[in-house]
Amino acid sequence: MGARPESHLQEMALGSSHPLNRIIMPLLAAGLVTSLLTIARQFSMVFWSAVEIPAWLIILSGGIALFSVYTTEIHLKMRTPLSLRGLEFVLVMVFAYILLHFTGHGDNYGLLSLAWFRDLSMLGSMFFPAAAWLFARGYGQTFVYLGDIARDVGDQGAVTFSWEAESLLSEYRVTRERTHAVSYFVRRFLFYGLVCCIASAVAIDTFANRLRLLPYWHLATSLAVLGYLFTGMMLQASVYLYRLQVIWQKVGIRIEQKLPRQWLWSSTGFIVLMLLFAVSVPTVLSPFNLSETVESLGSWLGRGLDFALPQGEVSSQPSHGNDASMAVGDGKSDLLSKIVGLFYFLMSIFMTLAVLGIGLGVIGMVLMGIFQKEWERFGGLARLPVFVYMWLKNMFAVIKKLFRLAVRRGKGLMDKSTMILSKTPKAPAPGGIPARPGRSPSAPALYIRHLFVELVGFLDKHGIGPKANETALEYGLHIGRTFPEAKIEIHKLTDLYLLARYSLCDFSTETKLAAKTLWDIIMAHLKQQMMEADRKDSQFLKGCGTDDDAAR
Amino acid sequence: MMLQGEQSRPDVTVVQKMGQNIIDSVNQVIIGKSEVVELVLLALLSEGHVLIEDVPGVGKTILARATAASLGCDFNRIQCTPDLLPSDILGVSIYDPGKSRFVFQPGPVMAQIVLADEINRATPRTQSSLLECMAERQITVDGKTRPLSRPFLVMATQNPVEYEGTFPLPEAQLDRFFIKISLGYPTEAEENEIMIRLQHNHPVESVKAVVTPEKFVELQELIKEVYVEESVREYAVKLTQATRGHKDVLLGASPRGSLALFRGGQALAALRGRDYAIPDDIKRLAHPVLGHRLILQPESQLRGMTAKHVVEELLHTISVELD
Repeated sequence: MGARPESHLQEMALGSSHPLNRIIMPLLAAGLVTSLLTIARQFSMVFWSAVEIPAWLIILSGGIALFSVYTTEIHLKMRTPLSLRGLEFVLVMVFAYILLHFTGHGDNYGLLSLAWFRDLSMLGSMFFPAAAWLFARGYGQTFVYLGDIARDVGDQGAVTFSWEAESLLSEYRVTRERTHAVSYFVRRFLFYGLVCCIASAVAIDTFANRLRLLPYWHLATSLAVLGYLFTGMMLQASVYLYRLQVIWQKVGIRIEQKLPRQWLWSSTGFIVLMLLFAVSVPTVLSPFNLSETVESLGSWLGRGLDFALPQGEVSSQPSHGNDASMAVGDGKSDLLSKIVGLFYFLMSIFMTLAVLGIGLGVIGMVLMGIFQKEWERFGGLARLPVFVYMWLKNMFAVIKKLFRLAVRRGKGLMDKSTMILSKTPKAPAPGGIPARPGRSPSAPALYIRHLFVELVGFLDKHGIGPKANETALEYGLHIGRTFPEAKIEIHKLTDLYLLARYSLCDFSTETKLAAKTLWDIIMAHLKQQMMEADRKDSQFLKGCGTDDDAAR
Repeated sequence: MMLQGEQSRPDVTVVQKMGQNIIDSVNQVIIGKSEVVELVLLALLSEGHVLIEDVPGVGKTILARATAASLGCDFNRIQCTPDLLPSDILGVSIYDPGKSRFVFQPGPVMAQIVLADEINRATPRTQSSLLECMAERQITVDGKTRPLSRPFLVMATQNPVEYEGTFPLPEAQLDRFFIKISLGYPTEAEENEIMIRLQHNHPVESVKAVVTPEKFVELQELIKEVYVEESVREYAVKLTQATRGHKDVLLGASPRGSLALFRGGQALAALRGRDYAIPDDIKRLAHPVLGHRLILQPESQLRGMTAKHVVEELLHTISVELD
């Protein structure tokens, strides 16, 4: 270019003299950072209640953010050494530390003591000015890059008004950082919004008891979110206007003086109207009350996905024989079970395909890396067929393995859904237990087998069913260990089942009755255990709430 | 609880009682290896042979001697070396000048319990002569066939560490062994106990027979009456068949393997006091019965895959019906 230093400084001054760049955008960036830090403080009150962040620290962090935006521009344009930027950060942190110390934080140790490294409250508080400085620094950098890139692509940008595309497609030399700046605001804005939603959902779902103790938490959080939305969107609008301003300036397009002001006012008006509309819609869907919105959406989703799995109660009297009522459930349950089974099956296929895709993608990337090198070194091309062969072999092996896995899982899921369909799985009625050639089991033997199968079905519904490879004896021992109070009865019933299932033994009516007695004792005990477990769970949950109350 | 149909069921309590007596008797000498002793007894009851792969000095010979003594059986030991000839094992006809005819001098295999120590040091020719009599339970010398006495058990040992100067048994011949077991080193407490017991004289000298060979043969016949329900039999077959289709297996278990599972399941059920076998019996025997019958793919071996892994995987894969 060969520009003289004076003209460069003039240009630099011209670029910085715009009110958007000089005042509005730094203020909006500082406001955005302050809103984000306020939201962070709100969530820290819930997730990390042991640490108390003073409210004034948020205001201080806002000031630090504003300071950081300005100084970043100076650093970049003056090309200051990195050490100077580091020193600035240290000075900011020291300033924040001294203020914190003199306002009551860290009373237990001296100002120059290193004990603050172990003080979580101090560390948590120090995070805020540090985050403000770092966040704002990113915005400051991007403002500078935006000005530069707008100047670089001025002509084409003026013609097309699409300087993002120009910066990417034209022959102008645009650095990676500058190109990156194009989507900087959108990405950050969406990311913080997502984090905010997730944190809110976790806070509502997991720390409801703590939220009850913070009366103004919802209001403050909603205001902070509102501030975040407003400053974020205004920043977007300002950035767009700013780059147009730079382009107009560079190309020499004369515009009316009041146009930028009109733009800003109309943007502000539009955003305010939009937010007002959002606030005025029913509260459950308003960003003004993010917590309730997330809670409501969660509950709607939950209700929508609540299939009410048909899990038939195990009858206290094990029905044996041709009892039609136990063979099938009602039609609605059947349909729902089929839908659920189909859903899980489709999900398993989807997951399999996803894993397959990821696996193939990884293999492809590795091979592309190999091929690229081989292509560069021409002599290595002879090895390509070997690589192709190995790739194909591996790929088919992976596909085969995944296919087998999918078939096995799918079969298992279908079996499970079939199990759900019948209230009494594998009932001993004719057609229930398949008659084996050469042997016809006696009625008492079938009855004992049915009792055991009922027990297995009951436990399976409560998540302690047998594994596919588990034998009756192993399973009996397993559940005997799980329910030690009924261990003896479970073992006796298991022994009787083994006799009924695998031996030629014929049972008397007394044995049948004895098995029924054992079954009754076991079932009574299991039901009692389940109830106790439920009661303990609910007590534990209540206890958690009480403990939190006491702690607070 | 009163069970009907007692009259049609074999009384296996005698097997359980005598089996326990034998195990207790052997356990006087072999410390802390009850499971191995039980497996040897299972093989004996199933009329099978045992291959013990273990390092020297862990009690392989003592196990064989104690078992023989507990059963009241004859015991012979063959120390296999590369210069051992088939005639050294089977016997040879020697000319008797007094009688002016050849007289057969029986070899060490003409005993009820034979220990073939370090079998892989013998040449393939000698090995095959021994393995032939294991399968046929008879020997043929000079054109005359002589049956071996019952019970007949061969316990062969091989060292898993040293391979120099050995002739590893071909996998096809390994199939003739009912089970392959390993004694393993004793624990610290067991080793202390061994020293205390062997302070003055070896306890194997004082082992008394707890059953006669004839009675033991009766027990062998009795376990054949143990009922094996169809699903249990199918489980054993499925397990064996699955070894043939496994991706890591070059050569799966033969029908002799499934038969061994079947017979071993019967014997184990009887030893547990049951007159019927259950899938757990088959599962218990899967490793010792199937493990040595599998030949793995070379690449699988390079990956560190072993027959134990394959059997374990199959036991986890093949489902057992609960109905």
